[in-house]
Amino acid sequence: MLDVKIGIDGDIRLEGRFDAAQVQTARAVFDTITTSARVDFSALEYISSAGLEVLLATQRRLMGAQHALTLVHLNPHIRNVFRYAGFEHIFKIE
Amino acid sequence: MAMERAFKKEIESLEAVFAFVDEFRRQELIPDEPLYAVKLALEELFTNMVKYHPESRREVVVRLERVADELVGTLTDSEVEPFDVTLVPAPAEPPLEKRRPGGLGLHLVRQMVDDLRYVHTGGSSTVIFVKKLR
Repeated sequence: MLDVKIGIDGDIRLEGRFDAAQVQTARAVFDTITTSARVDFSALEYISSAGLEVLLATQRRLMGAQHALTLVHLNPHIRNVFRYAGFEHIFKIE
Repeated sequence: MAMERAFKKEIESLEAVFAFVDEFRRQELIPDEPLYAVKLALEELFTNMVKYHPESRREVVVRLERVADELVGTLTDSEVEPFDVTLVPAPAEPPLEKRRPGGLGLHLVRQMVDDLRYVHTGGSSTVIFVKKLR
């Protein structure tokens, strides 16, 4: 399961598992993002290519308007997935 | 020890597939890093069968087996056309604005497992992956 929430600070908080069955849940939130935002991964256990594609689509749309996502608090396994995907150059990761 | 289970060929089965891996982990002591790779490989390969082989609605059979210090995962998709997932090229790395979806999942699988094989026989596609546990 995946929980996606936007905090009062505007940060997007991901919790649980971002797999192919959760794409609709995630898109419902990410499609509403229209400006630069931080995505907090601290409670996210897992992400697959399906989750990466949602983030990529959002980043592409935002960059068209001179905005971007910043990804924070990725666990080492998820960080590896970004590295293997070659996404470390597409997102600012803190 | 080996465990085998059949799953309905639909994305909604992923929850049960992950639960199956956790069940296997409780029987065998699987460290976190290979466990993540096994989950990702199963998800990507299972999802591939759901998306690209709708010609059969037969259940996908998933088998996990520990052989010494390796975990062997096998997915069998029955009554489908051949499609060798090991031959799918890795996605190029064009600029962001030109990047297209697709191919990324199999690329990740190849990066994260130690061996990936494909067999098509008797109308069934079988994908086998091996993940070293040390």
